Amino acid sequence: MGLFASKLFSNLFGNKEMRILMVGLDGAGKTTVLYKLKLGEVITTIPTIGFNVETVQYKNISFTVWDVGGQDRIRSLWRHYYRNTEGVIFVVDSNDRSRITEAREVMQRMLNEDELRNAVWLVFANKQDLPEAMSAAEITEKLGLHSIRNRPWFIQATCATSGEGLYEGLEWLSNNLKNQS
Amino acid sequence: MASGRVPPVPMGQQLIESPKLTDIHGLVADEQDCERIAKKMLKGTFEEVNYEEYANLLGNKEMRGTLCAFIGMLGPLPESLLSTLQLLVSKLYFVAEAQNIDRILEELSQRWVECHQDTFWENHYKLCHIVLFSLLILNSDLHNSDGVGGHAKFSAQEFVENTIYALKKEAKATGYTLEEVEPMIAEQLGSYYDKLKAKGLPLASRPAGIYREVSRSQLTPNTKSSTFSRQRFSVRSVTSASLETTLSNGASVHSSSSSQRGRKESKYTSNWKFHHNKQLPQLYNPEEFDVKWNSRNNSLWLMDSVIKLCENRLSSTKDQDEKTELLAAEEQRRRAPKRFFKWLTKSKPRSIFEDVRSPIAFLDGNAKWIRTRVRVSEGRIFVFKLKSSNTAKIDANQDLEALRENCSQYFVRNLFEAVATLAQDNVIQGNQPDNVHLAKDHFKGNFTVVVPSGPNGQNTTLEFQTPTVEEAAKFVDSINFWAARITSVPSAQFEVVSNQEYGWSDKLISSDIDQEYLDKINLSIWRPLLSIEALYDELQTLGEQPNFRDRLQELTEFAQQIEDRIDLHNSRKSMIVATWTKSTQFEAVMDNWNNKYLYLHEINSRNSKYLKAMQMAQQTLKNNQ
Repeated sequence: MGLFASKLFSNLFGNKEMRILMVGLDGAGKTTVLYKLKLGEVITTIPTIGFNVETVQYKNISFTVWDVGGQDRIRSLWRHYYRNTEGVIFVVDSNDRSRITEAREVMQRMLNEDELRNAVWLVFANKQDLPEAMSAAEITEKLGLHSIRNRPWFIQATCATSGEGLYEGLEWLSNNLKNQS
Repeated sequence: MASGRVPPVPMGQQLIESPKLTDIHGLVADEQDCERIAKKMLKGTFEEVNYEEYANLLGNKEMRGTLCAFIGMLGPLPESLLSTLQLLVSKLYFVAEAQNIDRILEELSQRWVECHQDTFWENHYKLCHIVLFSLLILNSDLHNSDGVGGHAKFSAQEFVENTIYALKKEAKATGYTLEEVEPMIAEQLGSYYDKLKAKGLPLASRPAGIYREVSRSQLTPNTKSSTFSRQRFSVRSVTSASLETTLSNGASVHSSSSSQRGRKESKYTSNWKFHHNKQLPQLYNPEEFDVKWNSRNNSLWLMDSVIKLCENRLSSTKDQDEKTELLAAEEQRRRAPKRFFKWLTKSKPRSIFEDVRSPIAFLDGNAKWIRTRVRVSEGRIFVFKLKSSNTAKIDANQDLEALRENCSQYFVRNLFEAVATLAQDNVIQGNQPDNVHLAKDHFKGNFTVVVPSGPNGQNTTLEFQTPTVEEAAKFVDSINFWAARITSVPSAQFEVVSNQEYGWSDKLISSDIDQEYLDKINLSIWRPLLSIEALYDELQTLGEQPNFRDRLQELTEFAQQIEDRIDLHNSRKSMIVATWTKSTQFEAVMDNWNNKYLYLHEINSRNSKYLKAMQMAQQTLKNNQ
């Protein structure tokens, strides 16, 4: 009955909004994820100049997903946004063993951001369709996720080009948003 | 839109794709080429990529030369950084990935510093870069129509502080101090804020007169550029050129009013297309044998027959007389076209444990049956409600058009994740001839089809009755066969790792944990995750379908995997009970255990049905070689 109850709950309280930052190294597949998620909708909006920002309606929650990126010096500008962010989607190229350490560093830095201390953490172990892709368990290990104790995290193997795994991730985010409220 | 040919993605559905979509290597060029490409981009006449992709292309690492040339062609840059940004975005459609924006702005700031040596920024282009980037964020923040939900927009002070924070951090890293110039910077940023707030940055459009040169094919994503993307970024090759990947595979009824309660009837659904004479896309990966078998009635590939559909559960008004309804069919269609199809919009909470109801309509004396012509073919089920006067003979080769003519109402549904079950498999009945008390109906065949209906919840159960049990079995096998061909194996569900505690993590089970700790653990509720299949109705693109042999292989492997998972889950039970038995959270943990068990069980039974149908198909093919 859990599902029913939560559905009832969200119906009672109407639509919720959840701001999500999507981060990850170049070429991890952020844009593909974003647009694959966006494809779940039929409505198109007029693009706003600048960054890829999409609002995805899933169940009763509208996820505003920001593609946040750029060099280090730019990253500190995003700080302002962290404050109102409920969740982070961290996209990893599972096939790129040479840059997994770099990905770990970027992620750990974000985890240490004070403004993001309440954000739930979703990792997409992307590009699972490639033959050499590391499994979700291996990525968990390499990113040091097990050391995160203060917040819920979730890693999902995905293939953004086919959409596999993406909605499982959103589902998890939406469940955890409800848990927090 | 040309009729007879399904456009890949309808106009207005185009998305700004990333530069990955282009064959960058093919575009990397020598200096002269850089100049040439940059010039064309400035004019909006560079045809290799969509106009909307210019920024993504320019920002690509490998396009540095072209980017340099492009920035150079902007002419003398204004003294104000904001005006410089305005100049850039007036010449370039500036929606791109953050890292590409980053590179373009970096280049622009280098050029700006060269033009303006004597400002307080001196030659610190990196600082200018931060300002430019910050201005762009500000613009998105102030003017994004999507609205950054619940988030208060930047105030001038916040903007200034945020930018200065980043500037200071950068200055510190490079051993430079900003203290002296900070007030000036703050003042400048403040004035930029006011200007941007008053007027957002406009999105550039292609210079006038150029549009006609853009070929139609360039405006639709399924063009050269997306072909490149497949070549470069997708290892899965496109197995079949004819594999249509549009969205029209959903279900709904042919009148648009069905959208009232959540279900969208859009031009992307099967039903809409069917109703509007658009070609239905191919849902599966067709093979040679399919061509032959698709036209053979009473096979796994095609079932077409007049059978009965139970209406009781389809409509919410049970007390209406069938006769009256049939007489008033035409009238009703005009008035309330959804009467027959109310089940499509019926609001029912989704729970995988609830909606597999035992099919008992045929045991129920009050069951109301309506005559329908049902065709299972190529991944879809077509249900035509026959006009009462219609006694036409069944001709399996009759085209869908003719069928539609002969019915009062119809609907089309794809069979993604559908599961058909033979009722006689579940219901024990005395079928000895001397069992005189049995109703005649009990000798008929009955089967149910459960079709999931998207993320908003409700599954649909259809109950059919056939003249014989054999025929019901054939329908069941055919439906499961097609569902198996088009439904992907739900392995993503298991490819997860999380720190959420459901009550059986290794840490808990393998070590002695005191009671108090167990009571305090933050227990999560286990529930299955919806997969993307749940959204097939609304998706525009489907993944590529594997061929028959690969799918059979997948199903066979998954059958083993899921069995192992069930075994593992079972084996944990005793340990879970032992660990939690005294805890106040015992019930919650057992609920989790049960939920997962039921889910695994359901997946397992679906998989074995699919596997069985696929094996039958394989056998059929073998026998007919």
